[in-house]
Amino acid sequence: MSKLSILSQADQCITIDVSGCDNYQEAYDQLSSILKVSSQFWRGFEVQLNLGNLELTKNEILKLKGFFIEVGLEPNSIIALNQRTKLALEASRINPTIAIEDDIIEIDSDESVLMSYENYQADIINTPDLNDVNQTFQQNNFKPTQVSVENIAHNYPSQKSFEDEQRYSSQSNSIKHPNRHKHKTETMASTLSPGELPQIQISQQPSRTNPKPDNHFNTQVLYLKQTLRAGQVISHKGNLVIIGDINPGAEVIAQGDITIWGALKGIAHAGVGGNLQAEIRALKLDPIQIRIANLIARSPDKAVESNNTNVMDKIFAKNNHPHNNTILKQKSTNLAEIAKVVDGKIKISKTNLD
Amino acid sequence: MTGRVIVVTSGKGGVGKTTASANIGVALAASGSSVCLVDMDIGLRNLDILMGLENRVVYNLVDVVEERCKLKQALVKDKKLPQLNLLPAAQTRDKTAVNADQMKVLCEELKNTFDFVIVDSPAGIESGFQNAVAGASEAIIVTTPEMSAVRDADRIIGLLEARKDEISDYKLILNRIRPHMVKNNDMMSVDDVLEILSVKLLGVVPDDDDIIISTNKGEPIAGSNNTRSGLAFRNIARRLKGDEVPFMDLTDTNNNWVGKIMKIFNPQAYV
Repeated sequence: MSKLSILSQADQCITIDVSGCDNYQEAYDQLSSILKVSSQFWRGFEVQLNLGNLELTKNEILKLKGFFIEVGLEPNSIIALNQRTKLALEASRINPTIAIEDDIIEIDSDESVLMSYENYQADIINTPDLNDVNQTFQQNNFKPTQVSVENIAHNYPSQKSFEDEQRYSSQSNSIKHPNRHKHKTETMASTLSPGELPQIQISQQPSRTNPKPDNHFNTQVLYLKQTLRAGQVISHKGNLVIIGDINPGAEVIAQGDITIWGALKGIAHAGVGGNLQAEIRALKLDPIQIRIANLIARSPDKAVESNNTNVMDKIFAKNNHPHNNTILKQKSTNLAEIAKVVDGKIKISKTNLD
Repeated sequence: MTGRVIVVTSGKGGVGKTTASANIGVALAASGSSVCLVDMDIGLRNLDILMGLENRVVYNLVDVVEERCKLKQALVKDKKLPQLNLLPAAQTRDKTAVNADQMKVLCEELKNTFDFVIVDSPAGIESGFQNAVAGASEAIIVTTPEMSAVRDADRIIGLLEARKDEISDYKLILNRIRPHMVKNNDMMSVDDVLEILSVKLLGVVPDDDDIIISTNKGEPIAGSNNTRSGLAFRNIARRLKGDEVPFMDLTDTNNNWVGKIMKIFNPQAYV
């Protein structure tokens, strides 16, 4: 397991926590293994670096600084607890941020461990009671169409921190986001028809110097323009918009909705943490699995499909408890498709934009 | 119950390790044994696709090893054979996610539940291979009648011999043989390969279009009755269980009446 953790905060700010590392070399190795493979991905982010108790010399700090510049990141605040590191930072003309104790605890807690997809699964299984979760939500479906906007859930049950995460099978896959800030603040208008634009509000309370990892569901939209290939994972704390295909073997995971301007052929997991209102939209829904909150629906088996074009398939909920639910999929036309939870089942339907 | 842990390996990629693993698993399960297929090709998992079980995968081997789920939760049951189980690899991780000790523990656990644990090893001789071999007590080496594949198989056999304490037995599967090419001296024959490798032969599998079709369908060919490659894999499974099964005569590709009559007179050569 990685000793490094990266937390995505609101407002394009990420916290990189290397406090779990024992020495400079380890911290450097961990950082380069994660940041270098996807240097373009991180470009443009503002970074808060948490050194924890790590003891660094001035020389090492300068090397680290050089490394961050190399991958296109510049830490705008550094948290250091170690006295020598603090002195070294001052000597390198970097002022360490004096961290509020609460924040340190937050970052050091188990919950900030680099969350990978596997962790979410564990979370799903542990979701204690779905009914409770339901009650804490205010439904906010503006229109009878499926376009929903969620300002919801201040008492969102999940206390887990998310981070934006990508894994690449090769360097050549790195994406280019020259203007990432701009992308992130864009609304997801592109996937909606012109007549149906809802007003989407994205909360933008800047807390640049010391952003606290917020435990609320946030409506932050991550906008990505790339095709996800096998083995790649994107996970995001808010809503996710991807312009491109999700190939088989790739996964997209979000706490909110997932909107794909392309074909979904891999796995999509919306509403991680228990948000049953979450929806998955794509121009073409042809997924291996669809997961919403703790429900899982899988694609029909190939043999079944050939016998029966009106595809019906079983769905099983947490811990493989069969619920004898079905995915309903209508005949394909040129309309975009949407998957959402209806009466405790994941259903796929054509978008009805009338 | 103490099952047998058998690793399927080759060194070279693309010779049919995964296909062989899936088919041996299906053939063993069809003959009544309980089988667990373990996909060790972490990061490039394929076994679930061959088995047609991709859409059923929720947890994987790395989840089990890192204790995010129980072993039972990660096992995916085959569609047709309930005694056949698959432990899928993780798609989004790499080979460093598992180490040899963890594999040993895992294989011990599986051994107690299943008659056969078939471990599909990744290509190469690095950590992925080392991990796959770690828990195994037997090995199946898959090769094709090409110089490069045979060379790599030879290398693998050397590595397996170095683990004599753990790997008690290893046998060869010669895959994708084309009898008419062998006949014309355009391809190495079974004997040529055995002469180089000097190992016990477990089976010979003819090159067969049906394998590609079955792979795309997600239904291993050993489950179908009327193909030569399917029969070859079923014979391999029988030999694994200790039956004496004579080797197929692959030279009989032309199924004309002469061949059929020859078969009657010399049945020994055709099984």
